[in-house]
Amino acid sequence: MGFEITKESYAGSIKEITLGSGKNAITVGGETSYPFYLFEGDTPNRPKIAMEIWDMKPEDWPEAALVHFKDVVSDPVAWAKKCVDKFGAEAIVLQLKSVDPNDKNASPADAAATVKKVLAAINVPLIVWGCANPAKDEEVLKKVAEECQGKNLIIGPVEEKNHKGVGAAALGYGHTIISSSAIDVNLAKQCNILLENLGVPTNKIIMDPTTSGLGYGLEYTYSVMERLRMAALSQGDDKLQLPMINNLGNEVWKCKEAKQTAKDAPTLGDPERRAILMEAVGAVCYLLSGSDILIMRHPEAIRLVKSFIDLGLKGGMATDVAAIKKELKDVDIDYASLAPAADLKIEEEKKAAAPKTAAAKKAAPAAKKAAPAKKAASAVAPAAPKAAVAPAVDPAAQAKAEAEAKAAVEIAAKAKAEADVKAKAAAEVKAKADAEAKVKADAEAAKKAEAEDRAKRDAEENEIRLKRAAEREKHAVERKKTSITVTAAATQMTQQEKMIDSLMRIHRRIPLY
Amino acid sequence: MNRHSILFLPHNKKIEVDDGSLLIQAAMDAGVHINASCGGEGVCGKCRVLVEHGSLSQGISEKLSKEDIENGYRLACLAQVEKDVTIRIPVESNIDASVLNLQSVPRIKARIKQMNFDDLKEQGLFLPPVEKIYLELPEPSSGDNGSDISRLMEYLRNTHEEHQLQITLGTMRKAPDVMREQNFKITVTIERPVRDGGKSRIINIQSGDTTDKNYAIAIDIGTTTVYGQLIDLITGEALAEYGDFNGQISYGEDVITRIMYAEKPEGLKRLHTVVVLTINKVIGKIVKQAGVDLDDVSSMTVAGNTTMTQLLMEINPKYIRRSPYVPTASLYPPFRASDIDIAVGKHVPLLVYPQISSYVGGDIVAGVMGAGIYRTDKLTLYLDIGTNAEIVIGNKEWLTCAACSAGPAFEGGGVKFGMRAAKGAIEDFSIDPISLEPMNITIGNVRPKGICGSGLINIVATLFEMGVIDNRGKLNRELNTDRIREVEGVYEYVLAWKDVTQIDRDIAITETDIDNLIRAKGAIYSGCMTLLEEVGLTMDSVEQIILAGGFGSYVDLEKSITIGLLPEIDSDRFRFIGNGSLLGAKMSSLTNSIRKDVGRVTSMMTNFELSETASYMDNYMAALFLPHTDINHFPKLKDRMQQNKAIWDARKKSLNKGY
Repeated sequence: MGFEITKESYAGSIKEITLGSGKNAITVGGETSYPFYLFEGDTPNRPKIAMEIWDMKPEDWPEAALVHFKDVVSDPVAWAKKCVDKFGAEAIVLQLKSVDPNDKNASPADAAATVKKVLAAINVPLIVWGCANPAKDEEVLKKVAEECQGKNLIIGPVEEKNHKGVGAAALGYGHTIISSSAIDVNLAKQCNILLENLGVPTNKIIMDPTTSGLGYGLEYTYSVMERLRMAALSQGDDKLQLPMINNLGNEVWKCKEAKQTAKDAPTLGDPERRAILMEAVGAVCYLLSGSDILIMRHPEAIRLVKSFIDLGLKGGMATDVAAIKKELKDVDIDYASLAPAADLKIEEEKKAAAPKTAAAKKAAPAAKKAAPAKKAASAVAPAAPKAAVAPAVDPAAQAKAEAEAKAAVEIAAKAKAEADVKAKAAAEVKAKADAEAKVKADAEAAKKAEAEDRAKRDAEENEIRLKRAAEREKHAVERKKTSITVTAAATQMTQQEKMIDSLMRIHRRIPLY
Repeated sequence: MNRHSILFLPHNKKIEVDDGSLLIQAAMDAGVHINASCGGEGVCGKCRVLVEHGSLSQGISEKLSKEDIENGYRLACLAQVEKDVTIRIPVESNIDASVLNLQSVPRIKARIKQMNFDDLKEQGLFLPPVEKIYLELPEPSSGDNGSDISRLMEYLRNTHEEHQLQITLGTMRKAPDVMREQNFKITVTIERPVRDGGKSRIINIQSGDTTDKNYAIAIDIGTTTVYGQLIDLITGEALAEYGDFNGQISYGEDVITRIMYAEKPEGLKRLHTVVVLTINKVIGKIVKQAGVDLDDVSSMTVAGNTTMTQLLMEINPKYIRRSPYVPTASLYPPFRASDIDIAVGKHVPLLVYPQISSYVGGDIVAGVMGAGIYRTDKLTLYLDIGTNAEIVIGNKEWLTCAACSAGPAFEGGGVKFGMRAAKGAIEDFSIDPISLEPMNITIGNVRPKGICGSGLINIVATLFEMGVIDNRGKLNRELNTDRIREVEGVYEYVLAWKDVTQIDRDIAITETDIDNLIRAKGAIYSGCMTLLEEVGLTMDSVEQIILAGGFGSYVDLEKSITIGLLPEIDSDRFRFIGNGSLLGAKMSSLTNSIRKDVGRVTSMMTNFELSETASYMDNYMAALFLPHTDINHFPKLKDRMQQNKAIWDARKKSLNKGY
């Protein structure tokens, strides 16, 4: 019988949602199994990667992120075009950073104008992301929805607080909504219910579980996304069978580690590679927990993640994926000088050294003066006390005596050695011939023995194999014949008794009487 | 009693009521909305109805013009039903008949189930803990000059078979004078032992025959309120009941802040004194109400949560709030009430209910005893709804319990116009789906003063069903009514304008109040779910749900289900027992058999700490929604909400038409 994978049976599937309109439209969602569980279900639509652009020149982007967009950051239209034409963005996310009341506080009309311009310039779906201030987002997104009627923008984040205003506008003007909640399964569901109650059809909602950056709470988002998918697929909760979006680039690139230069944090390595990898690793995590749309920033990170999706869905060799292509100059970090001095002592030696250290410390003042060069050596090294003792003997006298003794021994040894060599040469010739003959014979014998052994072993194994096969057949026949009868336990426990039993285990209180 | 039928038009709803019922209450019970904001005092004049056939007694006020009266108009809140009658409700807004038919939900109320004292006697459970015996002792003479006490003991032994009696020093001190007051005609009070083999004790001596006057006091010390009951030990009847806010409230609304206060210098003493004062006030009131002599009170029982009990005993509750949450004692020895300065006779023994854990106290044990869960075969869910909600699941074989903090919303705390269930509290509520005018009914049919717990549930449930608030409890700002308004940044719905209230202010329910209620009900519902999960059961396997709590006279089950406080199961599986803790205290005042069982029940109850149960927080978040994040647990409500959408649409239409 062949090996069979145990398969999960699912109670539901993710809804397919169309983003954008006309020939720009793409579809996400539609999964009938957990992410990349291709043996259990279908993933009709690849997870999509949307590239983010800002509606104002970013001030705090690290060099690594900025280098690809330096020429376009002041012009959202050109920026969007570059993302689509050069980097093959599957969707564009316009981050309306300028409307933030704590920043430039741009008007809804201005924001809407930018959205329209960008929309006209691209041939992929447009996602409009507000500033995450519920009141301001409500004003802005309403205006945007109105101005871009029928274009099926994807607008968000829509929270409980502003779901009515934005929800009604999206419904009225035909857009898709990003339903956002704070890393909690129940809150996510509640927000979806509120939108549904408002009349927003479920094929117009995408969920944003609130994305955390790598090292900044990614595991929370990850497990909530996992649970959302479990609720949607395994438990068949129709309020949660929606695609998910992660605003990842924004989170990763604003964290400290993505910004630190080689000088700031030399031990973290090349800043460009580091940040790209942080974004790519974050993205992979979210893909594994069910993300359908990833909002990303760096073209190299995007290339890596796309290749991951290919590998996951189509298979292939990860070694074929090209390494990160750097745009910035390599940084020169002298890791050797940063590395702490290697401690090569074995555990036992260290233990022995410990008591000696005390003694060494007492002798230390003298030792340090006598051997200043040894100072660099580890203070705990057992060499230290020895060094302290050595200077007591006169080194010169010792050396002379040793040299004289050596010379005398050498002369005698030389004469003996010459005689030996001659005798040896004669003996060797004979020995060689004998040895060759013997080796030949031995080899043949060994070969023969080996062959015999193998034959014997094979025969034995075969015998066992046949025996086992016979047993198996016998068992199989018996299994078919005899149905195993399960006899009931002598005393039948009711559900209640079982419960009392288990309570007794929990219940460790000492009886009061 | 005579019953009359009333037909309400145009709703075409019929209801039968008792003779002399108020018309407005009949309408409420039939699910017919009549605008009324003054609670039923007849001052707002809004509840005009037209008598089409038959007649009503009274219902006339200066709010109706002569012409109106001649045309057959009456005020529903003043009119009493004495005959079969047909009433037409004037329709103010254009709503179609389909809407009228939809809006009413049959009211299912769980009224307090009174304990049947005779049942107790039949079951042989009636063993009063204190008994009075009237004696006519032979007077001492030169020929019979034994001591007073020996005379008493000997007489009891010879004539009443009372052997091995003990006597208290207090009784001995009283004896010589009392015996001689009426020539050795005396009544002695004997305290019976709780356990078999114990000795009976003479605790009081009175002159003359007072055997017909034997009373007990039962006290429930709640975090928010203290209730007291005076019980006649001969008939088993409660002669008087009174509740008052716990004086400790000024030192913190919940047990944790109380404990923190008790840790301050003199704090413990202060809290002890204050609660004793409250108890003494309650005792004073009930004794006066029933008109009994304090000296005839011969027994007292107190039930309270662990913190309240320790504060009453003046035992430092410090370690209750510190991990691993250990209370000082489970069982308290019997002692005299006067030892802790309670103003009753010096002889009165005090029974203090034992504690299970730091957060499951004597009040819950009392509830379990009172509701008789420990004697039933049925799998029972016992739910005591108060500031601290306690949950017990089990039957006579096993019991588990858990406590969760619900906050004071159900007792009127944390609610802007919240109050206890007392006269003037809005208790029942309905709303016109189109004009959004309210129908308030208050306790005692007087002008409203505030909102009590059951009123709060009814109001929030009704507002939710009518689409005035959404699943989060937020008011729909787009509705066309001046009753929804914003005050200091908080939205509220005005229940009664100030000209019809007792407090000269508009009475409103705010979004903050609704939030508090949602949190409270969320804590309770999720507590039940978590405890059930922990023992591996589901709500379907629960055979009966016993509700306890200071809700007033009834709980509206349908409305409680609508807000997701109670699970949606058959209403005949619910039972409401009112104040469970007080009931338990009363029962153990009446019979020693329950006192005997208390120890056993205490030791068989397994406590679960919800705070240490991982799934509790998850269940709680899911329950912070009206009625619940998972509507599939409420299938009937789900269907009804679908139907109600028709009403909302009708309202929208009328809005567009400019009504």
